[in-house]
Amino acid sequence: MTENGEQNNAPQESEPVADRNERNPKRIGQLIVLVVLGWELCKVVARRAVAKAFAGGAAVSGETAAEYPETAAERPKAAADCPETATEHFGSAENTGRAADRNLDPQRDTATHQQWGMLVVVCALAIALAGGVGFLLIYWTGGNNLLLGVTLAVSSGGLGSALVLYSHWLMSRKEATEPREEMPSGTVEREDFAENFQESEEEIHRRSLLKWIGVSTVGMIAAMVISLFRSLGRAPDPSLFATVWKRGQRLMTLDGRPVNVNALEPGSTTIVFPEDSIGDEKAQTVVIRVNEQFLQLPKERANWAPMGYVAYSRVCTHAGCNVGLFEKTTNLLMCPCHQSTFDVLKAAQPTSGPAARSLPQLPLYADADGNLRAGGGFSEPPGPGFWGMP
Amino acid sequence: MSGRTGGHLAQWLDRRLHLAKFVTKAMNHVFPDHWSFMLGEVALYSFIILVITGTFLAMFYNSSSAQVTYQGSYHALDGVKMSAAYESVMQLSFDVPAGLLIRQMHHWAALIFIAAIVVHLARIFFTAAYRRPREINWLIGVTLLLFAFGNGFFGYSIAGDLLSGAGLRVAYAILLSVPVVGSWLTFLVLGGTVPVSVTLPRFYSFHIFLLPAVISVLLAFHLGIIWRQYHTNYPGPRRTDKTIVGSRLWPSYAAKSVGLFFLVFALVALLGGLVQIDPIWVYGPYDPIASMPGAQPDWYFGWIEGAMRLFPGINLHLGPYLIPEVFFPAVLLPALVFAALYVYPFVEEFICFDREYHNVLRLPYQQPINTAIGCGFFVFLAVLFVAGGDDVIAVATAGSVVTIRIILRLLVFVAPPVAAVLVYILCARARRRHTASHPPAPPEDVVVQEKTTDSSNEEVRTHCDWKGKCDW
Repeated sequence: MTENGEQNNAPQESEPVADRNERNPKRIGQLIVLVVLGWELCKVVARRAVAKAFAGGAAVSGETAAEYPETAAERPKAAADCPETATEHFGSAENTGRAADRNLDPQRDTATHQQWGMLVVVCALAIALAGGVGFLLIYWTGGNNLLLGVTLAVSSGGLGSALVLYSHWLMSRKEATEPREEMPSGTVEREDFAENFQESEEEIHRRSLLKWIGVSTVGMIAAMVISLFRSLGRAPDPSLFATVWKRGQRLMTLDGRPVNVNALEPGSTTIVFPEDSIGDEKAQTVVIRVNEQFLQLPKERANWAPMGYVAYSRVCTHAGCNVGLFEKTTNLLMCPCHQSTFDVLKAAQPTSGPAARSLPQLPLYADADGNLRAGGGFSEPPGPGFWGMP
Repeated sequence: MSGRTGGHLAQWLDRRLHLAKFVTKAMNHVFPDHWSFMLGEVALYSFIILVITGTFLAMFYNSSSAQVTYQGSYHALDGVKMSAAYESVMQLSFDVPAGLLIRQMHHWAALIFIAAIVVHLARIFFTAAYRRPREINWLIGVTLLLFAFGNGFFGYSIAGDLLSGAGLRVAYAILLSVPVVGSWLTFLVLGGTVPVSVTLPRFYSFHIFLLPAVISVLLAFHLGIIWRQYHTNYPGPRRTDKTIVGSRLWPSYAAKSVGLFFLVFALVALLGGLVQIDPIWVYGPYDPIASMPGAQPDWYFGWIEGAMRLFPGINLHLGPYLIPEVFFPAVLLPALVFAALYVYPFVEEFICFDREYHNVLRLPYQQPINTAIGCGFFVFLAVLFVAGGDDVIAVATAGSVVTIRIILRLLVFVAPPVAAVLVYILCARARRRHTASHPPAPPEDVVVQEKTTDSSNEEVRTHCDWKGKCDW
């Protein structure tokens, strides 16, 4: 308690306040005293807060801390610190406290301390009240959400602070030490339990028919409950494996127009759907026109890209996001969710990022009118991978 | 007057419930005074706030995916087609008085709930409070974290906006990636390939009935057990494995704890009022065609998101079957992380041959190995969390995503061991210094204590020595 000298200033100076008030009606002196008092108060509060925050660490009493077994030398000493009276009955084990204990702070029970504490708590409650009034006013006159939040916070915060301050500042708090219950029950208790339990258990064991029919009933109930899960969902259907598009379907944009072979400049893209399911998430396909001579499709896909039009599933093979970005200069499709990139020129193979599988490709051909049509389904089922995925 | 009324009420109750003894005992329950014991309470109070605000929100929410045209007071979306779910959230945000405040408070409370659980868990870990006899509560706590994760996801998925729709599709991919049962699991939980109309009602039901009920029950057990076992104590005078030191529940601890509830509530209200969260009107309704650069999940999924971004594209082909790349970072990794959390106390017990009861905590520097492991673990998660925003970092630093990914892939392996070693060295040094300045107490005390304990209460304690070490 090296700070005692400073802390004691507060009560000493509180006496002259009354005197000066009588002698010198000027408010300035009073104000100065108040400021000094307030400052001292802040220091005390801050010091306590710090002491409190580190109480656990600071209060470590002198002993070693061997890793294993846990602080072997520490316990005997600590146990010695604990007088045998601590094992008396409930609530009688009040003790003399440690250095950091608030109860032993000589400041704690002074009239000034109590008065200031009361003042602060009352102020906090007043703030809470004001906040509540503000909340009601705002709520009944339009209800701006921002102000409602602030007034609610002020009101609740005032109440909470008042309670915490009251507890910390004004309540007499004795540090209590109590014995803990012995962890494993005593032999007598355990034997008692075992006896009681076995009595009825044996009864059941003797009636084996009862036992078996009982077990079967429980199993049956479980089966009934589990069966109900069937209502929750259909079985995984073949749609998981579907390659969605069918040969001959025209490529349609979202607003229902077919895509002509002259529609796109090289380096531009559009999103298309099968003509009978426009807007379908799983069927969404990105059509990109690239410079034909740079295309490096596998041999068997050589005729899948008429006039440099390539089409790939727009659902990422990694985690199913929409592969929404196309970088013209590098010819990369990129998924904005996890930054996988796919090389448009090389059958949408993943080039970087977490994706492992190429985007499924849609074979294309141009019909007599010059409109693009699907030459079949996607090269693989579109979307994220699963156990049975081919 | 009020005192007499209270007295009458107490008597009325006591005549029917025989309460006096029980309540007196409860009021005298001892709670240690340390701020770090409040972290769990912050989580508990956030949960209560979640229930209160959530009840309000549930009165306005509609989980239907029927398409409607928006006509509400947010004119920027006038005439836009959207799901009824999204419209109902817009409605409660803009047309219900204080609705937006309550919704934002709900979301903030959810973030604080999980943050408080994580910090609480870290406190338990770094002070070794999970040791015998508190393993059960550790298991329940980790399970609570798991369910909190789940309910957080269900919560922000049901708003029907573009971000949550994207999240749903990623969740679909993750569920689907589980070997053997993936597709069955997906259809069971989500009701089909997303988006389907049954998904949101299902999530809503999980979110407001199933998981809150499970969380409440687990919470009850968690609190009941800590009440039964008492809290731990930080090391200090009179704080032994056989004593509990602190202040009584009534009145000082109760006042402080109730005060803490209002303070947490104030924080949530302040955030809900001042700091915008999940602005679904900015994202717009879910659109299966739209893509959303810079999309991120809520903070507590950041590490899984990061792992998904860092993990290289490795498919595992097992004959005709496939384990997709998503499985490893998004299913296996979280499973391993939670498995590690679950088994940690038992592994420590096993490795250290530690069968004793521990009611006095270890300070982090007193257990360098544990502290090093914990720090390495958190650094690992932190790197993953940062990786979850690699695109944001790339934009902010004008770097390339590819470079940043390479750096982070290195860091995720290098940083945790480096941090662990560093922390170990620091802790070991602190411990050495402390030991040097505080010589150990003479060991004779052990014998004395053992004798007293054994002779004083023979019937109960014959099989247990003073450490609580028992041979069954």
